[in-house]
Amino acid sequence: MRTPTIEFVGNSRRWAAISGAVLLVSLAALGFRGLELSIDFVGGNSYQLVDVREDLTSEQLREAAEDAGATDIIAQLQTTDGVTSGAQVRTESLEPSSDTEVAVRQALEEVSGATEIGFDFVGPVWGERITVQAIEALLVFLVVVVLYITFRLEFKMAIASIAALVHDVLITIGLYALVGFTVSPATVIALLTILGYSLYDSVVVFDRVKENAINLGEDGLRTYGELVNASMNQVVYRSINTSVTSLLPVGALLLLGAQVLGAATVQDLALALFIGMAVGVYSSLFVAGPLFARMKRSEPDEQRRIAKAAEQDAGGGAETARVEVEAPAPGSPEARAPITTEYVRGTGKAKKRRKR
Amino acid sequence: MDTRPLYVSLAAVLLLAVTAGVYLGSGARPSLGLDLQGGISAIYTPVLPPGTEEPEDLDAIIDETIEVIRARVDSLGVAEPDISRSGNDVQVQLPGISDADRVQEIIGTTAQLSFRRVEGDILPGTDAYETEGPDCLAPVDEREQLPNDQGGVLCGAAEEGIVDPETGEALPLKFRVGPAELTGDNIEDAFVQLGSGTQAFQVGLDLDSEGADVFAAVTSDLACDRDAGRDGRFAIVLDGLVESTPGVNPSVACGVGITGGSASITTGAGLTREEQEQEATDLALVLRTGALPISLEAATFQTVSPTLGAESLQAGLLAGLIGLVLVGVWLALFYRWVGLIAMGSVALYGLLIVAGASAMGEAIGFTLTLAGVAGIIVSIGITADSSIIFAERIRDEVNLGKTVRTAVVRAFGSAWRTNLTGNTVTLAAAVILYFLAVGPVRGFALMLGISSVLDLILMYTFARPAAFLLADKQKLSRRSLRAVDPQSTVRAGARA
Repeated sequence: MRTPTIEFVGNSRRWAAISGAVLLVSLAALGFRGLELSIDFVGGNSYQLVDVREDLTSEQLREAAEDAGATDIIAQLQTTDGVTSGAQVRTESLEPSSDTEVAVRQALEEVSGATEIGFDFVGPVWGERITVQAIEALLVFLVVVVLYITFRLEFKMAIASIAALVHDVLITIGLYALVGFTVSPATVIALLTILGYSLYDSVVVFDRVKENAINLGEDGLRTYGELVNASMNQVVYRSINTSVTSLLPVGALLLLGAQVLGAATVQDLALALFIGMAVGVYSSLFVAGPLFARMKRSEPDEQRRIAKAAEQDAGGGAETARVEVEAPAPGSPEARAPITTEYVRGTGKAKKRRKR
Repeated sequence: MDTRPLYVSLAAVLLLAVTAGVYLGSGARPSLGLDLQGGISAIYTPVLPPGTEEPEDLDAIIDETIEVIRARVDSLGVAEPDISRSGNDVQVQLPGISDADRVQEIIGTTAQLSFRRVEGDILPGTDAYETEGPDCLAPVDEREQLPNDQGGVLCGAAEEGIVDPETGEALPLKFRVGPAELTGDNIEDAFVQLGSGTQAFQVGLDLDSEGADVFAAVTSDLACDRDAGRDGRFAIVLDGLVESTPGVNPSVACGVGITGGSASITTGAGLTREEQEQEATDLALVLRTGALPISLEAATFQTVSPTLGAESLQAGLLAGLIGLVLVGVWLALFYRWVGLIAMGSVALYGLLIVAGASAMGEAIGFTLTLAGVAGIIVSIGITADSSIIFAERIRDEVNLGKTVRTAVVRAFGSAWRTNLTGNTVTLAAAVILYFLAVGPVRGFALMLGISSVLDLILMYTFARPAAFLLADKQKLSRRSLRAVDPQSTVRAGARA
């Protein structure tokens, strides 16, 4: 298999336009529709009814809970194979075992004929606390990541990685807002995972860029933009395969969660993961790398390199530049190695050997 | 290439895998979190009585409160209750219990302290022990409660019990006691001090003015009892259990008692100094906890039905298994020989992580939650990724015209660096999440962290020697690596 030659950096405006449009939609969805938060964040009670009557309606559940003294009621039926099998009822926060809470539970049990009833209670203050805690954890994490990538690679790479990460997470929660899925702690776990994957992907790309950087200025790698582009082409198969292998188990989880279970947790998790990872595939290639190349362009050294490359392109140098895109005839010396990678590795020795 | 260390490394990993396999084969399974096996999971926040300030030793008092709750829960006979502290919150995990109201009552009730006069001991084995008073081994909420204004029979603390020679069970002492003379409200402070002269550890006790009067009267009566040859002790009762039964000092006169509202209790006669200090500290804490009855309010309360839990687990396991197989097949198809190594890595990962979770369950009481299962499934991707990076690197090197043998070695070097960086980021995420987050996120973070370390270990000890050996045995060819050149050209190039 040949290293592909896709113009990641050259078409960065196009990618930026696509990402920008999707981000706008996400932000608009977040702004206008907002997120449907589960009781874990806002406090409340949630009753899980198992094996309910088949002719149960959500209206009956709502009335039963209301008569027992609950407010802010949301009742949802769950079906397996088209038959009503369970239901979930949400109310405002009611202290477990308080009179109202017990009354609500009993009323629901009577009206639904459920064989089992589980309930969750989240106090009104608790949700706020864990949300604040999660945000703190996130900020600490981001600072640590920026420091680490700066130390290990480069500051601008850290910024580009974080930008890709924000891109992925925003689009995922934007979709949640748009479709109206409920954000649960499982969603948060999924978002954290997406964050991890997104960073990992960016790190893999930038690691290659840094490794190739020693050969900056050679043919095919005359500018940082070319360097980033070549490096990304080298890791493109890895990106695709990693995404496929990550999505396979998550897809299995999503499918099984939907098929086998009425239970929401697994499904919530898998859904957010699936969306986030799919977005992550895109962003690791089309956001982090091009953005980094763009940031690099403002550096004086890079400006000089770009000018020089343009000069070469204008004078007879065009031929060398074209080699990147043209597929050499099989059997010709170039076929051994596409020029992009040949110079990346500083393969002077191999070339000399071949000439002899 | 010196292949011996490679074989050793491979053998070690395979031995470990076999051990893990046998361990799991022998029936070891991860202990399951509540969300997978059903039960009640709750987080309680301590609430101080209204109008009180936060004391300096709040920490110790919360610990003591947790001890009281633990004693109550233990009396329920739940299989593996887990009551732990995280920050100021108290996490309660009660597997296999479904009666929410009962749990709420047992945990939500505040522990009360009282001082009562001891009217006599009842030793285990006597008839009176069987017939009088509550059953000390029954669940706490089924035990008869003794109201403050009545006398009766109370159980001693379980750890002070006498072992029944027949059943081997520790039976707590019982005490016949009078009505409560003082309650926790009367205590202003309790602290450990050294007795003047004797230098023995004591618990100093400060009472409010009402308490001081009552205390003087009671100790005066006790001193009279003592002089008359009767019992002359009082019982310190916390949460219905007699914690300590000090008598009055010979210097306390009948008809006078201990006046002034402060007293000291010398503990642990005949013990070493360390034990004495420990005993005094414990008793002071009991008194402080009684003086500041912290109530626990539910912050979250979750009941999980065992059927739902089991279904979640099955779905999770099945998804994990299907995921493993699909990923393995994909890798083998795409990367051929190197893909087989990748498949091996992923399979080894699956085996070791499940065995590891089981071992951690036995060793440190780790429980696998649904979030943990999700962490494992997600990590399948991470493990596969390190193999993919390695495989891609090998092909890159071969594409550049290197021989397969050299390519494998060089490729490992750079793939290893990349993986190290990537996994460090993942590990950082896991560690930060673990320490800063609460609840389900921690289980996820733990599995993610362990997986990223395991991934590195497997890459070094399994994927590396396996690939090196395959290259050495000429199993890897340019064709099987899908490099750009036909095989013949390489051979020629390599020999030139």
